[in-house]
Amino acid sequence: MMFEEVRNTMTIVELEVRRLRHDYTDIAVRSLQPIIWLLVFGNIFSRARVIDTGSYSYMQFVAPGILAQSVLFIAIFFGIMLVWDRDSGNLAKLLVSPASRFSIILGKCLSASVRSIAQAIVVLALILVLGVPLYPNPGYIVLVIPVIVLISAVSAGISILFASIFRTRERVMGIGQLLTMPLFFTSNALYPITMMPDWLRYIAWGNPLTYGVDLLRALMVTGDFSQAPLDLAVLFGYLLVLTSACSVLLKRIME
Amino acid sequence: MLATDPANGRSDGPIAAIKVRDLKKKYSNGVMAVKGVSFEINDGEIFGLLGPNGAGKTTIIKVLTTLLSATEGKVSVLGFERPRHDFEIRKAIGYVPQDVSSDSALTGYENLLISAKLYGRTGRDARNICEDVLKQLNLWEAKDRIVKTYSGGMIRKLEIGQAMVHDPKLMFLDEPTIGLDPVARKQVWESIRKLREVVKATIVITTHYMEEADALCDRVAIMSIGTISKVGTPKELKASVGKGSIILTIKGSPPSIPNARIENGNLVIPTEEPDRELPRYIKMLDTIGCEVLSAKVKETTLEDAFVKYAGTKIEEMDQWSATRKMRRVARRLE
Repeated sequence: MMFEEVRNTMTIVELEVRRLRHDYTDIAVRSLQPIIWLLVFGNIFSRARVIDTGSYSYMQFVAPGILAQSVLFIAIFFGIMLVWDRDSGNLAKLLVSPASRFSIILGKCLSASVRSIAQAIVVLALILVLGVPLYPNPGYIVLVIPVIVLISAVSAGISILFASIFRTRERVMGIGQLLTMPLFFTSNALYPITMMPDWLRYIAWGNPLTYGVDLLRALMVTGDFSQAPLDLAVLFGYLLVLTSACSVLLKRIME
Repeated sequence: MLATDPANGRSDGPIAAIKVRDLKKKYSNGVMAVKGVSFEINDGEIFGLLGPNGAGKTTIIKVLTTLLSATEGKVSVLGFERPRHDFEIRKAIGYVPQDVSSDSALTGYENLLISAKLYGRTGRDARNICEDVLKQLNLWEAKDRIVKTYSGGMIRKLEIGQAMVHDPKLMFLDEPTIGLDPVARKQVWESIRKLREVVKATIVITTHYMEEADALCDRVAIMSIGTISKVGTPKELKASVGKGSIILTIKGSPPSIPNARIENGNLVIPTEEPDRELPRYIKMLDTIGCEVLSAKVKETTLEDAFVKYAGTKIEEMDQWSATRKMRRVARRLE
């Protein structure tokens, strides 16, 4: 049973990989935005030295944040794909198959990750080209990929949750736009949590992106994994709760 | 087919493929799409739900395929009760939605492969079934083309193929030939008949095309606005209306004749034997001073039966929202 669930999830991911293989333009276009963030925002704030990032340069500090952001910005709109799949008969066909709701939703969340991986590689390459000093362990850089998968699956889960509630493309698009900036700015992506006022700190601690960025920063820059178990627990917890909630709410989107 | 074990969800006695009793479906926006219908579908038949857009056909299909829950009533599919045994139902049925459900960004072969995997077929087994299905449906030549480049008829055939990778006992096809040209429509009919021969499946279709219901279905349920008004074989339904009708164009206003109706300004007289009755009517009209300008004899069609049982012509009942949706599907299939 467990094996079948995993296989169903992987089949749904395979569908996305095959979609992507026939159309690369999507990745190319989407990798432009993080490039601008890194080249313009990162550079200027490095020079301004207004943010205290301890012994690391601001570019080092912000690179993992931009990487997480690039992933968030794609995945937070993934619910639109689900609405699109509903409007075409794709979702109906999946739901009539013996695959469980949970494995279908998890498959969809991980499908968002597939798109993110390709983009994360582009952003990582750019970070290297810009000469941002990374933690000298290539193994850690490889581990960045599964973290990207996790961040993007959680973000897609949030998006699918809102898609199940709001049910139309326009509204899911609106919600996505409403969510991206707050999620980004209330995380530790651009500045350390220690700089935040108390109220913002509490929000940051509830924000899944904070934990993703923390993991990426440990892998890419500091090599300090003291928070990693907490980071992983929170991210997996979010994924489990979101996937379960979406599995229950999914019947709403079909009505 | 006899019932096996009540414990696994199957009821006793000979099993109809589908049993529906007093089914009602109210959507969350308050629309009562199905207002209490009861019917049975026999094992092995092609059963048609015939009605205008918005009559509730698709809602019934969605309830039968476990996509929607029933508001009230009892539904059993292949002997399995809804909603307790939805999983067993899903394993045993195939479904082709009204909307285009093949992934247009993938090749035909890839679409089939994904479907096969979702139904638990893997590796060589999955590849073999894909090959078989593609050849049966004459899509083998086009298997490596992106579905975007397929014609509407090819897409529908591929979708039927995707729904048969697991040898389903029961197939649901929601408006299978909507938006298709007559040639493609005939090809899809052929595929559906082949499906019955090859897979030996019971087939349920919805349609608002009279000639489709007549040509394809063993039995037809006539639907209007959330209810089923009559179930029967196309032959029975037509016979119950009479063998045909006489259509007369009359100079001036038509006189009133028992059972006759006015359609597009013509006098339409339903009758058992229109060709034999025609001279009598012309003579009769002549004696009361009505001049007959032209006369036509028409055999009964399913449409006449529809008018009798649904109370109006099918195109006069189309609901705007449903029509809009139908056009969208038709556009995507073009």
